[in-house]
Amino acid sequence: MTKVSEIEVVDDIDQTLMHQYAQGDHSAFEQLYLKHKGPLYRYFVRQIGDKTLAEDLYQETWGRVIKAATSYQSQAKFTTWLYRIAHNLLVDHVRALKPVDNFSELFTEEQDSDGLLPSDKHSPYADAEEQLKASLLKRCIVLLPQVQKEAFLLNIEMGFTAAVIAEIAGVGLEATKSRIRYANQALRECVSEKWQEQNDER
Amino acid sequence: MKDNLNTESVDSQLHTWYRLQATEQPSEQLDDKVIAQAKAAIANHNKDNVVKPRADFWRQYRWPISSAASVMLVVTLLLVNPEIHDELLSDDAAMPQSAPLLMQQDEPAMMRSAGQSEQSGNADLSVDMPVIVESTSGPNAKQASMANGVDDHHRSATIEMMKSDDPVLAENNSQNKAIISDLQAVNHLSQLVSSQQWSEAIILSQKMAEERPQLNHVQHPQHLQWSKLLKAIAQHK
Repeated sequence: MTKVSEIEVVDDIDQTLMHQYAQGDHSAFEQLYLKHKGPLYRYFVRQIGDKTLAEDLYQETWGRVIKAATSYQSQAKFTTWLYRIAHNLLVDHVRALKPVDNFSELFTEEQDSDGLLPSDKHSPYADAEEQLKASLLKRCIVLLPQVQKEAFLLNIEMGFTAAVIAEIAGVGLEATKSRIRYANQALRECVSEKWQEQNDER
Repeated sequence: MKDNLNTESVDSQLHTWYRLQATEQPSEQLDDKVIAQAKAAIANHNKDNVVKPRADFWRQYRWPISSAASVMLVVTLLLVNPEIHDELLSDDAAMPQSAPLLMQQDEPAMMRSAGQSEQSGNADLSVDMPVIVESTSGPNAKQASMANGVDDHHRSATIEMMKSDDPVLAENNSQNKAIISDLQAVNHLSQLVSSQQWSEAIILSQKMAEERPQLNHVQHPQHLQWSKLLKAIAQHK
């Protein structure tokens, strides 16, 4: 089974759970919540520096899901619907804050992104190196422009295609593809640079 | 353009690094809040959707039943009181002036039921009273006031009215004719004959013969009765 069809099956299950919840089965909601709480929480936490605000928006998203449960229609996939609510809340609350885009100023479309350092997975320090690079990635994600960050997180967390992300964010397909591509390139660059800086310090 | 994860997805290294750090989870308190919110929402929804007892037959079909009952009542009233039926069907029934006519005609009807057979002739004559009462304004006011008097005056007024060439009275007469059906007229004549008031019966029969030629048609429902009455009147001329 391909990843796309896996997502479709999961969405069918989600829709079923949502309908069960709407009919009064709150255990269905618990299942739904447990399945999506981590990715949705990280969607907010990774995009917003303020953890309290991120948690408020996270709770508000679920609040809206609960409120709309009785009138929920299976026209859109549950995950698409869920993240569209989250996206709209994020836009409403965060757009005015204008996140720091220092990293985006350093990155342009023409830049070559083949700057990754080779990793030696067979060395005894491989796991530690991976952990270090993972933490560097986390710091680099924070530096991404908001729109790229959102596209990257939706892509990597939920495995959403560019088309689905475009639907959630309400932008064109090509623009979404560019955002994902630039985000990947920028993150590779960023991790590589920071890794190099750390090696130089040693 | 191909739109799938192969072309636009994050590369495997980024994915691996991301997964190593993607460990943030909402706190248990936050989980509890959301779950409690969900439970409360469902509880409220269930409370709002109180199951209503199924409406019984009469309550369920109350509008059709009440409509049918109203129609039945009106039809029954019309069947029991054919006079009302005739008046309702007549052209003048829709006119506002017909209301006092109906009201005035009810009065002698009540008198007739109370007065029994002795005064039945007079009471029946009073069927024509509305015409006279209607004409209480203008030159016929005097005649109208006479209509409320003693029986003899009443009869003579009726006969005078029949003979009158006054245009206003003639107009009232035409209204009266429109209201009084052939059946009523024949019944009236029949009662004059049965009470042996021959002079009045002769006048009325002549008047009816002029104004209601349709009674001479064989197919008319009152033709037989009309013929018998004419024969009876002819024997006493």
